[in-house]
Amino acid sequence: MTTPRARTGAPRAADPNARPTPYDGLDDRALVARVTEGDGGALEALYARYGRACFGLARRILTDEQFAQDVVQEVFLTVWRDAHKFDASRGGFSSWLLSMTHHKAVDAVRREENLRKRRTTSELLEDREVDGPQVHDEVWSTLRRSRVREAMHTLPEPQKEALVLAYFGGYTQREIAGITNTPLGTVKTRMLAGMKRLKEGLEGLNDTAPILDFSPRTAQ
Amino acid sequence: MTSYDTTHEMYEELAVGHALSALEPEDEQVFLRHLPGCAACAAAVSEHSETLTHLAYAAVSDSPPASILEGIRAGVAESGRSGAFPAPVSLDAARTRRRDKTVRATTAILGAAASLILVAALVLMNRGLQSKADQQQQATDKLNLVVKTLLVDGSREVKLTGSAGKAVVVVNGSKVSFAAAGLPTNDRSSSIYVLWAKSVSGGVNAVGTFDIRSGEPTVVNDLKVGNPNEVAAFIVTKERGRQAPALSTQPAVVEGSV
Repeated sequence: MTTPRARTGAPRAADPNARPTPYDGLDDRALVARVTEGDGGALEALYARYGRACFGLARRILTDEQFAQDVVQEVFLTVWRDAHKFDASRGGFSSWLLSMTHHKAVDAVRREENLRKRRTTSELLEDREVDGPQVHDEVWSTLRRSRVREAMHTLPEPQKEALVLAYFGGYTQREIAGITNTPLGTVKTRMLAGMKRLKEGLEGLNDTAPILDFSPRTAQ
Repeated sequence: MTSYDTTHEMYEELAVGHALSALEPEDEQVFLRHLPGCAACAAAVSEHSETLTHLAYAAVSDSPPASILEGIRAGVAESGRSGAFPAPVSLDAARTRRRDKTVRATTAILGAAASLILVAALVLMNRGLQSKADQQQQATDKLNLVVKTLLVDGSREVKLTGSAGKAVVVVNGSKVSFAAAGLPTNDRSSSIYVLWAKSVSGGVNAVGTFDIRSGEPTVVNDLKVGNPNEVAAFIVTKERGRQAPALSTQPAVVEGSV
């Protein structure tokens, strides 16, 4: 699988609502370096790039907008405090950030038992369209979601179920074993196999939006 | 904890569970003891995290509410560690203020040549055009007249646009002149406008600062850029304080590509 590249602000230029900032030309690593030096604008630039993805993930896990907001705020303030802990040699910033968001959201959903709605796999996989302009970044997000859905559909149902219950449901392996009435060892094996297959299915998908040409074309 | 044999497959399974935050506490402890000494597991966790990043993006999301950014800004302000963070104003409030702003006339700081042109511009002004559209057109006309005085053989004109007004940068070698019309006046005790040059490599440097005092075109001469061939765009921001910061944290007021 292609390693997600450090994202720059370049794709923002295609968003008619986005205003260029002096941070646009800086990649994630450069912004993180500035955050470690106390540059709040760099933190805001990272939020502009990834706040939406973090919020979407947290809300999917928590099913509660207020808790999701709390989690995202906590995540970015953790970045503010601990940006020096980001190790680029171990992966991209977006992976680090979204892993942190996932971890904190899962912690929250386990802490708040009233959020632990026993949702089915199909409910967790529920997809819905977002209202709003289909600007470049939105189109790319839609394409990526499509690729992820396709990759997930190639998984055998038990593997998909185990991954979805863990990732979007916040369930532990033992809880999943209980929910699916499956031995714990089998759940672990399914998760490993499913992750390997998902990785293969997402081969070539990277973290940076391609340049898409939406200019009007004259019929030949 | 589940019983395992001693093969590494056990840790491969734990690596997936760890990346998913799905391990039982005792399994998590086992894996965290093993992880620091195992390059293969470290690489596996990294790869799994990247795969899951794509899964995270599959979660459909509307735009996050402005209150999150407000909370982040408040937290940063409380940390007492920020030197250049924007004031904690909600995005919605900022947008509303931007919408409510009418195009205002700007201050003239013209040289002798431009002053003559201004006379003609003032004649235009006296026509008593009332509508906002007319005011905007009038500001544009005045700006165009001023720019004509700045253009010389070999110079390039870069138009900067934005909702608050218009500006033009005239580049002649490394020398830069700047003219603006329609930008709101700034409080000269607490703010300043900054012209930035954005290079093709993405770097951004301040070219100069200026004030907008009243409703006439503003012209700033004798500015310089390091390598004019490397400049990809010019951006104007309104900054807090009276000096150009090392980096801007403010949105562009007007901008334009070379």
